[in-house]
Amino acid sequence: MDQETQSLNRKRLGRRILIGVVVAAALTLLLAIYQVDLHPRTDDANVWANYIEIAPEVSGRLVRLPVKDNAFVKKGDLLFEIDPRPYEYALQQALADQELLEQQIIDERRKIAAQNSAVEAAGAAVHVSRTGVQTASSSIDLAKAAVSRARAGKAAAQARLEYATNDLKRIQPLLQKQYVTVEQVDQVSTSVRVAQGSFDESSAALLQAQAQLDEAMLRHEQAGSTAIESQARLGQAIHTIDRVETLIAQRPSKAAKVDSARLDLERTRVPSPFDAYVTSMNISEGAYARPGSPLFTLIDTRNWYVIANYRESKLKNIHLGSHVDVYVMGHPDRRFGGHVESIGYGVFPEDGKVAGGLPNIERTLNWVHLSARFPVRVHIDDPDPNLFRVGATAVTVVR
Amino acid sequence: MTRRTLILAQATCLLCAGCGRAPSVDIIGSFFPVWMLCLTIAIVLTCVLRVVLLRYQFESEIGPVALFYPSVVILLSCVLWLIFFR
Repeated sequence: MDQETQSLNRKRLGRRILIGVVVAAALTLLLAIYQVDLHPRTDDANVWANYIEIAPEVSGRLVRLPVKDNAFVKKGDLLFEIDPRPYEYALQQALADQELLEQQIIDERRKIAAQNSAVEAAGAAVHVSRTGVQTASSSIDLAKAAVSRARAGKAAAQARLEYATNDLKRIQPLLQKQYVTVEQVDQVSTSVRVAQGSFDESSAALLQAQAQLDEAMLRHEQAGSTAIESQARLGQAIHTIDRVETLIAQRPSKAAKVDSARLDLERTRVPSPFDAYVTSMNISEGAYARPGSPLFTLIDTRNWYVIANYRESKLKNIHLGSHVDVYVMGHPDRRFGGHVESIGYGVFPEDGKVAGGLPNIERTLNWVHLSARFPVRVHIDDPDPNLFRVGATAVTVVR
Repeated sequence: MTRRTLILAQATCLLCAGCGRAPSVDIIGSFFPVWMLCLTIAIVLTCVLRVVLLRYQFESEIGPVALFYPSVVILLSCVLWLIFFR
C-alpha cells in the first residue's frame, strides 16, 4: 500500500514536471520571440566612417609628404606640398602685369592732359581767326569808305575842272578884246591844268581805293577760310583725345588674375580638412599630382557610424533617435552606445534590371520570398578610436 | 534538477548583471549567433539530465519523452538566451 502510494506520488510528480516544463518552454519561447521582435538585432552590420579621397587642385611634383599611411592627422596639419615655384612665378607675373597697367594708366592720363591743352590751343586759334574775320570786315568797310571818299574827291576834282574849263572858255574870247590880261588867261589855264591834274589824281586815288577794297574783300574771304580751318582743327583735336577708361576697365581683370595666382599658390600646400586617419597611401615625395586625381584617402574620425542592415519587417520597431547597443566583434565584451540617425530609403530592387530597353522579369514560382534589408545608420556616441575601423563587423541591438 | 539549474542560472545572471556581451561568438574566425551556442549547451544539459533521470529511474514516470526532452531543450536554451543575451 505504502509502496503503491509512493509510486502514485512519483507518477503525479512526473506528470506535473512534464506539464510545467512544456508550459515553461512555451512561455519562454514566446518571451524570447517577443524580445527579439521588440528589440531588433542584426549581426549584418559594419563599422563605418565617412571618408574622402584627397585630390590636389593644382598639378606638380610633391616636394613634401610628411604623413604616413595609417597615421592620424589633426585638422590643419600639412598633408602634402606641391612644388610652389611655378605658382610663385605666376603670381609675380600677375603682380607685374597689374603694376604695368597702373603705369599705363598714368602715362595715358599725361597724354590726355597734353591733348586737352592742344584742344584749348585750337580753341584759341578759332578765336583768333574769328577776330581776323571781323578785322577783315572792318577793313572792307574802311576800304569802302575810302572808295566813297575817292569818288567824292573825283567828283569835286571834276567839278573844279569843269569850272576851270568853263572859266577858261569864258575868259579866252575876252583876251582878244583886251578885257582880260594874258596873265589872267594864263592863270586860268594853269588852274585848268591844275584841276585836270587833281582830277587825274583823284581818279587814280579812286582806282587805288577800289583795288584796296578788292584786296580787303579777298582778305576777308581768306580770314573766313582760316576760321573754318581752325574750327575743323578744334574738332579734330577734340576727337583725338584718348580715353583712359578702357585701361581702367582692365583693372578688375588684372586683380582677378592676381587673386587666382595667389589661390593657386595657396593650393600647393594641402592641409587636412578634419581629424582623420590616412589610408591607402602608397606614394612618396616626387609623385606627380594631377588636379582631381586622388592621392590617398582620409577617414573622418569625428563621427563613427555602424551601418546595420535590418530586415524590412523589423524597421517598424526602429525609430529615429532610438538607443542602440553596439558590439564590435574585434572586442565583443565591450558595449558601445549609439542612436539611430537615419534609415535608408532605397536599396537596389531584385527585379530592377532592364535588358534591351525592357524590364527583365524572371519567370519564377516563388512561394517563399526573402525579406529585403535596409541600411540603418547608427551614430556611435562613445566610440573608442582604437577599436573602430571602417568595415569591422558589428552587432547592433535597438533598445 | 531543472529548478536547481534555474536557481544557478539566476545567480549567474545576478553576477553577470550589467556585463553586456555581443550576441555573436567568435569560433575559429567565424561569428556564430549565440542562439546556436545556447541550443548546444541546452542539448548537452538535457543529455546530463537524462543520465540523472535514468540513474534515479524517474524517466518512466514523466510520460512521453518525445515531448519532454524537446521541451527541456527549448526551455533551457530560451532561459540561457534570455538571461545572458537578451
